[in-house]
Amino acid sequence: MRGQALKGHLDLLLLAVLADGAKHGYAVIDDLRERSDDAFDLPEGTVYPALHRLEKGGYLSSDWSVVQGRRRRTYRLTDRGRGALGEQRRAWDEFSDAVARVLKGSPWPSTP
Amino acid sequence: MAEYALIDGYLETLRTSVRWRRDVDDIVAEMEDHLYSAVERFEAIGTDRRLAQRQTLDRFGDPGLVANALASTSEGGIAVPTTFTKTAGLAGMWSGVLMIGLPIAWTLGLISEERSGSWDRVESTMFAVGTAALLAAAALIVVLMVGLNKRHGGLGTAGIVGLGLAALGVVLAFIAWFIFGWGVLLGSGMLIYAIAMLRRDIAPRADTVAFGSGMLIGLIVFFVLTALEVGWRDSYGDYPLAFLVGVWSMSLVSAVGLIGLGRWLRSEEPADIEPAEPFATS
Repeated sequence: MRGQALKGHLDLLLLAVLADGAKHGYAVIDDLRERSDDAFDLPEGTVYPALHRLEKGGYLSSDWSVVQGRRRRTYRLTDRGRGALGEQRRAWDEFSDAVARVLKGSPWPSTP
Repeated sequence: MAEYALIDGYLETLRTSVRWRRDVDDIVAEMEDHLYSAVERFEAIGTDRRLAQRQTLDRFGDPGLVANALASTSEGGIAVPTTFTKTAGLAGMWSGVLMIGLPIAWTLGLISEERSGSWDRVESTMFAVGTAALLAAAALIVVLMVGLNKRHGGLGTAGIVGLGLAALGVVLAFIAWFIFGWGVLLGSGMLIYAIAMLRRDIAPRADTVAFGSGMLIGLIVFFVLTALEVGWRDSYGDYPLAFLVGVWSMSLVSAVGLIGLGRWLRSEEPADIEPAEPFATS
C-alpha cells in the first residue's frame, strides 16, 4: 500500500500495535510490517513523528532506558489511547463493512 | 564506530537537519537505536555489514524526508528557522527597545507638565516621541508575530485570529488615536497568539508569557490604581500616576517578552540558506 494511502490510518495502526504491550520504535515498526505481511511501504523514519504526535496528544507515554549501551525509548498506550483505539476500531469496522457491502452488491444491470 | 560509517554518517546528517529542535539529542538517540537494531537483525541472518547498513537506510528513508516529517505540524506547515524568522527576530528586539522608550518619554512629559503647570511644547514633544515609539513598536510586533507564525509552521485558527486582531489594532493606531481601542485589539491579539504558541511549546515559555500578558497587565494595573484613586488627580479628572504605572508595567513586561522572543529567533541558525539542506528539495 502506498504511503499516502496509509497516512490517514497510521495513528490507528500504531495504537493497535501498542495495544499488545509496551514497545520501542523499532519493535513497533517491525510488528507493523510483520502483521501487514509487508503491505505497508512507508519509510520507517517517518513513523517516529507519528509516535511523537500521539504522545503529545496524550494517547501514548514513553520511557527511556539503556539497552546494549544505547538509549532506547519505549512507548505504551495510555488510558486515553486505549479509549481512542476502541472508538477508531468501531469507526473503521463500520466504514469497511459499508465499503464491502457496496463492492459486493449486484453489478449495474446492462441496458436492453 | 568506524565500521558502521554509513549509519553514523546518516545520523550526523539527520542531526544537522533537526538541529533547531529542542529535543535533538533524544531524536537522534531514538533513530540511532532503531538503525543499529535493524543492522544487527540483518547481520544476525548473515548479511554483510555494509549491505545491512544499506538495506536499513533504504527502509528508513532519506534523511531530508525524515527531517521534513519531524518538522511538519498539524496545520501542514514546516516549523523551521529561516532567514525571514531571523529578520523577524530583529524586528522583535527593536520593538522591545521602543516599548521601553514609550514610558520614558511620557514620564518626562508628565513630570515637565507637573513642574511647569502647563502643557507646552516640551510636553507635546515628549508625548509625540512616546507615541511614535509606540506606533513603531506596534508595527514591528506584527512583523515579529508573522515570523513566529512561520517558525511554528502555522499556529492554527487561534494564531490567525491573534495575528488578525493585532494587525487590525496597528492599522487603527495609524488612522485613529484612541489608545484603549487599538491597544485592546493589539493586546488581545498578542494574548491569543501567545496561548497558541504555548500550546505548540516551541518558543521559550517565559518570554512567550511575558509577550502575551504585557498589555493585559498594564491595563489591569491602570484600572486598579484608577479605581483606588492612587496619586494626584489632574484637571481632566484622571490619575496620571495610575496611567504612568500602567504604561510602565505594560512596557516593561512586553519588552521582556519581545526582546526574549526576538533574541531566540535571532539565535537560531536558518535552515533555508544551505542548498544541501533537505527542506529545499523535498
